[in-house]
Amino acid sequence: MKKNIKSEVRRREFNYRLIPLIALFCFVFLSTSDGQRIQHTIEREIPLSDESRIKINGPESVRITGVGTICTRQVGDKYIVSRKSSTPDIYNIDKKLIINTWDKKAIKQVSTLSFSCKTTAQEKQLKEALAINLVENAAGTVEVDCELNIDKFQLENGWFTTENNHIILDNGKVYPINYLSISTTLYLPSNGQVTIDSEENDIVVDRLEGELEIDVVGGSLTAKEISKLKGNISFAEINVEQIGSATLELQNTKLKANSIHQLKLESAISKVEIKTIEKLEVTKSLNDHFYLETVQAIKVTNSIYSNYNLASCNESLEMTLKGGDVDIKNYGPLLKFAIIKNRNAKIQIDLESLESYSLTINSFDQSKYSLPNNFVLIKTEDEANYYKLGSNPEQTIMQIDCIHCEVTMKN
Amino acid sequence: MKDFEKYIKDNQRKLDLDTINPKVWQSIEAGINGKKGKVFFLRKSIIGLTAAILVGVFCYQWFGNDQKESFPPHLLEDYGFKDSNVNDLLDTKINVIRKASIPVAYKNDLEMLLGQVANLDQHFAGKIKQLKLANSETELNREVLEYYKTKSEILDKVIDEIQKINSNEEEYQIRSEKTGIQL
Repeated sequence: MKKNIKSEVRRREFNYRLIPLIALFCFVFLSTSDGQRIQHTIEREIPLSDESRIKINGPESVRITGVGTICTRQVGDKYIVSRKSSTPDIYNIDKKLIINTWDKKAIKQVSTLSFSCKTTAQEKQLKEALAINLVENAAGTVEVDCELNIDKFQLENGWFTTENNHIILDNGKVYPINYLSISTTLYLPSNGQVTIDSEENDIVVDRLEGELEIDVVGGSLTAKEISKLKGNISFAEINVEQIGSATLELQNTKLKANSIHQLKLESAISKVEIKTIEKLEVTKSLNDHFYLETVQAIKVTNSIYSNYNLASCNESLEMTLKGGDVDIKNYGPLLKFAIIKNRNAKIQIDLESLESYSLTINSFDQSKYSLPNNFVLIKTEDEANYYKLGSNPEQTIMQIDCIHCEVTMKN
Repeated sequence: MKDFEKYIKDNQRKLDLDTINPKVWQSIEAGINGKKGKVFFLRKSIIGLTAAILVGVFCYQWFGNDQKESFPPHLLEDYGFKDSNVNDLLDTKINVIRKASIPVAYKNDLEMLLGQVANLDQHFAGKIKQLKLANSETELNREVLEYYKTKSEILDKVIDEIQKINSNEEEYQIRSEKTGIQL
């Protein structure tokens, strides 16, 4: 009997100890679980005039304020807001923005939402309140906001307060939320005039016959075809299959294109890879790497320590460089002239064996020249040596003025 | 009452307190100060020692961890580094540049190139801070290594150019005015 009472007491004691543990487990589980999330898609389409301009503010342009602790960070394509890095996500913005183009003279925004609130009534209210703002202003600009009609996101937490997170809409109304995520897809007219401001976003554009103006920091821009591109891009990657004409300022950026008709460039510590380019004008370059497969005409006016690798140059080449190596694999048959000014560099040129050339070299440039044997010295005059190769009257005119260089020409 | 007043007046001199010999005060003061000084010194040394230990632990945690960043070997290989001492490698390169002397005509161009390192530092500092918050170790490692790689490439370029310039100056016996590079 005594033994039974003792074991009963032990059992009850154990049960009482277990209750707080179970309660703690339930608390942790409830506080970390987001509950059932509601999936919802909102669409809005408005017509545009011929003069309309579209301005896209990349995802993550909403203001975030709070009392207590707040943790914002970007992981891959997601921009996440939570109380702490270890607590569940509260706000999650998709940093990948897909821009499709169509033949309609209209703009359409499709936003896919996933959200949860404390009560079903709150969820219903939020679902009805969230909307897409697409209005053409008096100046003829339609501003696209990937964060819908949300004005502000507000967090409130602390040791002695329960966690309260709200979104405040443009009309000032406040909605409590547990979780909200937004991802956006846009449909624009293919001949639209578009401006994109983007930070650490991945933007995918289809085909754009109009003008695209971009201001990009971090992230990437991928496009199939852009007729006119103007941009200021830093710490990003640009991948475009086809560009009509472009004026770009790059910093620590990788530009990769299949075909460009015309490009005017200012860049620093960037990598430029182009398969075919009609006309390239480099107005400023600092420690860049150029890999160009086929160039019709290239003009470099100010380049410091940048390297140029050209697989083929067909029409004209004019380079004023300060340091940086030049490697030209093949001079095309229609090349009319090539002028290279440089210092402390290596220049390597592979010549077409059947072509005729006239070459002028500065005789006081203290460089080492290695020329093919069939180059004949014609005359030395006015601090210059004149060489000739081949007898064709249509000659490619080459002029090299390179101080302390190693110049190698082969055919 | 009159008797009492009279008594006071008569004995006023006797009732006044004698002034204490200043030497006595000095000796007391010296004694007190001496004792206090010893105790204070002892306290000071304990506080100092504790503070030094705390500062040491803090520095080890804060800076020591940074210096001993460890990256998975395959990641290091991906970014062209042979071992984890990437910071040491960068420091070595910076020291080479600091000690270099170049012709004045090249100073601006090389400093312009080095200026890109400052832009790089600023951009990556923000990005790395974000990834630290996100606890995303793989992405953080990749971002840090990308930053080190770009920085290392710029420094290599500067060193290469310095070597090229100076070897040409030597080869062609040019006596240009020399200067250092500001980092």
